[in-house]
Amino acid sequence: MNEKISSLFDSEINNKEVDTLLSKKNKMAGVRSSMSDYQLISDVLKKKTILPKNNLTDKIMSAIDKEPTQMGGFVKANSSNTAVMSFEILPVLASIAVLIVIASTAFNIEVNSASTSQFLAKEDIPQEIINAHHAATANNMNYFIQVGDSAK
Amino acid sequence: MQPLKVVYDNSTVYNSSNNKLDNSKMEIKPVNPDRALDQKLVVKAQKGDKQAFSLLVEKYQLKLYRLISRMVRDQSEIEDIVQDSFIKAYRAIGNFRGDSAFYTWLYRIGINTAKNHLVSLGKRPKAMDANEIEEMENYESMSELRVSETPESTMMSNQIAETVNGAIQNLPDELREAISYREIDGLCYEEISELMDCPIGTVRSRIFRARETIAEKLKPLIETTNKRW
Amino acid sequence: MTFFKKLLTLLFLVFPLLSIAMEDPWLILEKSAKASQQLNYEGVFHSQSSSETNSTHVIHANIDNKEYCLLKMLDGAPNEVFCSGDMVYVTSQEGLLIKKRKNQFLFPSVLPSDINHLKKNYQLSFGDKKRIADRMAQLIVLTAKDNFRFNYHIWIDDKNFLPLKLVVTDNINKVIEQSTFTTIAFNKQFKKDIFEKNINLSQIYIAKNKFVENYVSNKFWSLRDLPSGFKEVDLISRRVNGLNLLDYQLIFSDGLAYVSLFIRPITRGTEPKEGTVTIGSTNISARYQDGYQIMSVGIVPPETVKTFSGAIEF
Repeated sequence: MNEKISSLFDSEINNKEVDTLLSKKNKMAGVRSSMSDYQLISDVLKKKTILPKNNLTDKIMSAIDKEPTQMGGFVKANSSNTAVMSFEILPVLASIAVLIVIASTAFNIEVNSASTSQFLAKEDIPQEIINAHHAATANNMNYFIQVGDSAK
Repeated sequence: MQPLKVVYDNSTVYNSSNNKLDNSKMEIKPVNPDRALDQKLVVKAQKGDKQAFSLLVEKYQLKLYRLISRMVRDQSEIEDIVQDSFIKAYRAIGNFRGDSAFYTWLYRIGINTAKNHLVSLGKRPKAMDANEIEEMENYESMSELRVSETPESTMMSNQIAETVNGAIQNLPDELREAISYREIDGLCYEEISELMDCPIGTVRSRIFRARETIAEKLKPLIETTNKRW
Repeated sequence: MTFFKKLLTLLFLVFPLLSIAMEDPWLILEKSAKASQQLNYEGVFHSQSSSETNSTHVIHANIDNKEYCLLKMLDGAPNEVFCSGDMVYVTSQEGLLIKKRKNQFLFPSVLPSDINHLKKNYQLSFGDKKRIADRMAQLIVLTAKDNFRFNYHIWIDDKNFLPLKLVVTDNINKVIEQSTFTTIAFNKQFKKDIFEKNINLSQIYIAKNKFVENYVSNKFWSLRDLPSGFKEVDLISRRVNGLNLLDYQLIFSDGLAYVSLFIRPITRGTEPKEGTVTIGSTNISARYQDGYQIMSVGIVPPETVKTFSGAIEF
């Protein structure tokens, strides 16, 4: 576990190990404390001005714990104000949903999100992707020479 | 045959075990290897994992502190600004799309928070010119800390430095070599493993053991230091 | 005695045929791969993929154990490619582009040196001989062992084993792409300067690619359930234009077919794409995950590119 923290400090850690570290919620304070020690050692070796260990991270995280949990730009309320937010947002969301259904039916509009669309148009593919593939792997002369032109 | 005069000017970099070529003509800046890990932690934070965000806080709070100290002298004010900056960053994390490095984005938030703080105190913030803003991209330059130092804090810092340097000297050669390559030369594990001719796992273990040995020696000093602060 | 004479006669007639049959058929492909690197030849070949057709004049030589080639497009813009060892120079009206040849196997050099990799993925069989570019050629068919790749039909020169014609087909025998010599001559002597005559030694050239080793120590992805028979042969990272961001191109091959898997961060204002599409002979599959656009590209069946784009995990 501690060796993983040292690797995390160096950003030399793979995704599984990051997940493992983050899953041990009750050990996070220890993780941060070790990272703080390593930072001190690093500052000395790099001849930077040394700051004594502080508890600034703990203070910051205490403040953030009081904040609503951020979820990809859509704020999910924490338990203290769930009831109020749900009550205010739900009718608005319902109205928007109804409008979308009416619009798509009346105007035959396809409402697709990126996560559900399976139809990809040729125009959606950046030419540099095609060029990069053929530049690296072409066995057909045409691709290779065309890439030479368009790569400029 | 007379060699071609060729100037390399683009940004395609190749990684292949088959080709080791001279890169002395490279003109672009090396890429920050932290980027991928930061991206991973940001994505987790965007999915609601506050602990992931806490790792970003731990990683960058000191660097942000040093940055703000260039604009503000008072230690408690700096701490307040750093705290506010991280809270603002957390509130905006959902909008962070990764088109700049996380720390660059964080630093901009920090600079703006510091400026607003100075304005609120009736102080005119120092105008940041383009060079100083560009320096944010290279956090290695943020080495000078400008806070009010007391003789006691200076003495503490010296003691810490002495302890670390003494502990390094007493490390077994391979541990001292590994941690020096990492911290002083800034090499990645793969590069160190090539230089030391050992597996990457061994490099990882040596650096960890070096740190733990030094941290052990620092423990009594840090506990004393914290009590005094 | 008469019986023994008849037996001996029979053996003399049959033995040459037996000896050909006993030779490892895959060795012919090895000979063919070597021939394309070692022979001196000059000719014109015709290439077709989907709706595009082009003719190319080629000169190839092996001088002092180094490979040289000069290819000139005979249709459209008068572009030229010349190779000197691993270096490839593409000249066009805009100037000179310098690349390093790594995975490109330009026709007729379509076969890899390592035939063993092909054995796992393709079944080898022989077809009829036929005349191509006034040369007798033996048909060799590499039939895909599964649905992740196309079939390759290669006619190789009966005497010197150089590939003279290549046809790639899908599982319903529809032609995906083909290249064939229309004229070819062997054993000519060429001098180095005919390959280098288009380079002006007094000019400074801008090289669009940097041939620099950059250790990508932080591979933040992992791969699972790749299509069988494909292995990673290269990894290229590029800086996204104008941004301090990298995107990545992983290249996979089964020995003949190539697939590129791109991992690109989504930049502000860009909408992620999902789905599969065919452009000419090339299939592309796109997927969005965790802030990254993943795209796989290759002249392989659509199912293959779909499997590749689904193979990335963060």
